[in-house]
Amino acid sequence: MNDEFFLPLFKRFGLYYAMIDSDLLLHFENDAMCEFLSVKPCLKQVHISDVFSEVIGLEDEIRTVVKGEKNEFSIRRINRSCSQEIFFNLYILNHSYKGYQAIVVVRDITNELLVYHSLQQSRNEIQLLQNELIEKNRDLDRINRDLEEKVELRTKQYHESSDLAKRLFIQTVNSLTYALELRDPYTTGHQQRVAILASAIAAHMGLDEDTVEGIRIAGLLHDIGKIYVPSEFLTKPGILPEEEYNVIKTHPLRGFEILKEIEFPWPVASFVLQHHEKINGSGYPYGLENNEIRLEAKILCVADVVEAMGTNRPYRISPGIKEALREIGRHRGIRYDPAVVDSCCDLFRNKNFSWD
Amino acid sequence: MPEEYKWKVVMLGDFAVGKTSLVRRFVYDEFSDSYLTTVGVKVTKKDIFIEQDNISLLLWDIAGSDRFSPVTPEYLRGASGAIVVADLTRGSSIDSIRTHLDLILSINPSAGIVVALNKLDLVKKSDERLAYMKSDEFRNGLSGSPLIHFTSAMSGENVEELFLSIAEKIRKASPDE
Repeated sequence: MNDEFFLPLFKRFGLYYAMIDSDLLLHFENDAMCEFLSVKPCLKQVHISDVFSEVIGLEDEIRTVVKGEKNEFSIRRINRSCSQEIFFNLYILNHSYKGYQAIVVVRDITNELLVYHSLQQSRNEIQLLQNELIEKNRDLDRINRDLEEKVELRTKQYHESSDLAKRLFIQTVNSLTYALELRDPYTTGHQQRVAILASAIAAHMGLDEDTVEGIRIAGLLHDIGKIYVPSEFLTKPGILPEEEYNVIKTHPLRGFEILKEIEFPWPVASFVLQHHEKINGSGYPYGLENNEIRLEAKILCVADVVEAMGTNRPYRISPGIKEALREIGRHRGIRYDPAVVDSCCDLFRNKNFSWD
Repeated sequence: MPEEYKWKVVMLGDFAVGKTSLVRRFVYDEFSDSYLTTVGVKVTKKDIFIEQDNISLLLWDIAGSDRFSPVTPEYLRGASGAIVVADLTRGSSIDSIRTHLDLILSINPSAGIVVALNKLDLVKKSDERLAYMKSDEFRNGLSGSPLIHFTSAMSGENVEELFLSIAEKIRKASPDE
């Protein structure tokens, strides 16, 4: 190699060289490599590992190149922070020159690696953010699953307690009905049948499900006040003396008093209180008129009359359903609400309503 | 007689797990929390003494790998030991430990190996995953059941122990011993 000619070219293209002997001592022809590596001005002979600590442990491999058993040894992308950040590739090539069997070549790749470094930095940062996002999403998924499980558990608990409340409610209503029937076995089933008919009338009139249910519950309890009435008054056949009848007439008010403190979802106590009121004011206990009476009470009133006339009692023969319907028809718009009467009659005559 | 040794130790692990930070903490007792990716390889020398023996550790800080940029196997030639580093806060880097162990063992089966689970300062002591990684079950699931160190390059916790541990491991495996 002609140093005067090649050295500036080598420098321009970032190439630096030195010779290496079989003892792995470097022999420099100039200071270019030392200047690039920012190591002290090179001695004439120095062991390769003193300049390139990167080859420590790999000396045997380098010897195979110097001996010609292998053509090349290299370490790429070596990074050093000298006076400035540099990157280079180190090559040891089996190449005879000036009596040496091999040369060491350093190729400066700082510029291209700085560009690559910048790209790699951005790529890694993006990937770190993606990883973080994935981890955060996993955490969110975990939290969501925990929440869903909690909601599911609470919903189940709510349904269980709601079911229990409903069961308790129905059991309480049944117990109250049963308490009355114990005193007045002759009217056993009367309240259930009134409840069935009244709720059927209400549904047929197009009332919403919740209102229908309120009417059904009121039907089951409408005579609860009779618990205060002596049982012989209730079962006596024929027309009662006025004083006994007056006692019986107290049962809507007694029922109201029994039920008023219970927190039903509907004003059941008021329905019960008004279920003997007539729209012309001839009913009891207050003689209320049409608009003063709740629709639910009007429905109960009609269902009560039809059931009472339409079914047998141990102490009297039933006039029959037809007669019951004629009775409410006669008083349609007088005692009984016309729409309620129409709905009831239509149920029996055209919709095959029966208690069976 | 005191001996002198020069051992090449490679730092392996996914990118951004803290390999460079561990070397900087050990060699210069410095830490920077800004992330600067390593490109290629940077060799740093650190002299230590173990029972009067003078040991030069040549720490090869290699660019972190991922599925797009695998480790250059030529960097692993001639290594006496390897420290496989993972980030305790990044599950994927812990999953990669097995890949790094398999790679170093395939190129250099006699290399001494320890594992560093780094960024301990970012993990709650009560973390269930930390308890699992401290278990024998986790360690025995790794090739060669390597020693595991829980480190923090930020606080310096267990960093010196990590590097002394790899030196001890190489020294014990060294034919001169």
